[in-house]
Amino acid sequence: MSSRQSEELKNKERFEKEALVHIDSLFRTALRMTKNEGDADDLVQETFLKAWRFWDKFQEGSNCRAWLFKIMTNIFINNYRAKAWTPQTIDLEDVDDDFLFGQLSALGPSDDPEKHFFNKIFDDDVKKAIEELPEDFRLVVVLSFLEGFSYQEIADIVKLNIGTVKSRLHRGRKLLQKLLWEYAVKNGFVKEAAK
Amino acid sequence: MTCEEALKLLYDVIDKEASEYDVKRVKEHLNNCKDCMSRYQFEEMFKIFVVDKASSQSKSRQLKSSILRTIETSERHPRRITGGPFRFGMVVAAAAVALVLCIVAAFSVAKFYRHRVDIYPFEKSHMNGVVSNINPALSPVTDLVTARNFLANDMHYNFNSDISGLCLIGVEMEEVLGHQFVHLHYFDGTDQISLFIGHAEGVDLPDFEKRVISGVEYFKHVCRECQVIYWLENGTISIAVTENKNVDLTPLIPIDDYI
Ligand SMILES: [Zn+2]
Ligand SMILES: [Zn+2]
Repeated sequence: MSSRQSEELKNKERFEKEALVHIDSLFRTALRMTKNEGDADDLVQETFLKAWRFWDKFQEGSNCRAWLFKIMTNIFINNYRAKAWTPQTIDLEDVDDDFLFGQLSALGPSDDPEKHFFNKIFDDDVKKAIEELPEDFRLVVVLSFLEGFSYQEIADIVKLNIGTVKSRLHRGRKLLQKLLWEYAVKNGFVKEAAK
Repeated sequence: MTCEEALKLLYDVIDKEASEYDVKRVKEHLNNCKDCMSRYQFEEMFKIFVVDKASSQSKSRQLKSSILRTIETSERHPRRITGGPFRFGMVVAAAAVALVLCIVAAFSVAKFYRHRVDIYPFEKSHMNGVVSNINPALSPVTDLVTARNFLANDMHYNFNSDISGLCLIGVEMEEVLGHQFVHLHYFDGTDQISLFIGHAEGVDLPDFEKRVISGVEYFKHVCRECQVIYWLENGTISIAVTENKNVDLTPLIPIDDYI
């Protein structure tokens, strides 16, 4: 085996050990972003292919997972995001920060409505609610909640300033609570408090 | 600390982004304020609830082996680096002109045709990581001093400030569309960005979406594969190309404050 071949082999081993280990985490986010397994597969595959192409540019010791998410976010925004660029207008101004908390508190302290609410909702319903968030909010919510990235890491991944990340996360949270509340009301898990 | 202050820090504390000092102050407040305490507990519970419910997933089993198979047969990005990776430390550009990126209008068939014809050399050369159209008669710019002198003295560009986050990975002379350009290859950690600088005479590019910033006309084209912007100033033309449509290319714009 030539030295070039053995260097390539080492490269591949290092790629497998440092990059490919994040496959599940990338797939999870890809799934929430694309909303279907086929596209999520493709997105993750493209991400690793691109990462491999640029593997010699990746600096050893830096955050490989964040680097991979940055690549994936770029590909997602460029190729998967709905082609229509019409800004999604969601009016959240009339939703209070403590909307869900307020609703649940209003149900009365008797039988611990919060626990009731949280226990009734299924995994898939939470996933669906996340997928209903507009893409910009969904991306930061997923990166923060599910992937545990810090505000600064998210800012680097999605190429936004930290203030924008925080405000999107804030609005994403609010909207997620509103969607889950509506879902719970629709399914009769809770009764809507009198207006 | 007031309730208002405590609630302002709510998400920072829950997301573990607040400073130790703030966390301590919030805790003190929560110990004395039942209302804020229950709000904090609720938001914390909500986050745990979402993370718990949404983290379970069906994994794609074949994905890993299929990726391994793909990289087995694919070349890594060919190196087009003339001088090896280095930090430039100087710049091509300037005050980042805040350009509000409106997103591109659809192209008519005619325009699309022109686009393919005129921009093709750039797309072909950069979107695949394969650089073509190098004029072999021109010796490549191999060192920073040559590049700097060339750009500063011949092209009158200012290199005094830095383009943050961009690493210059190559400088060379190139012939595109029958004209000579100095070609700067940048890498931002994810994407390659190319900047061409050449004399404007005789270069005829299509009129893409036009905007005027500080008296300079910029033409911008975004399509599925690429983002191309170009601008003309003092007899020179600059063309920036990247695969990433979200990168703001306007910081690459040279300022007319010559060295
Ligand atoms: Zn309080
Ligand atoms: Zn194009």
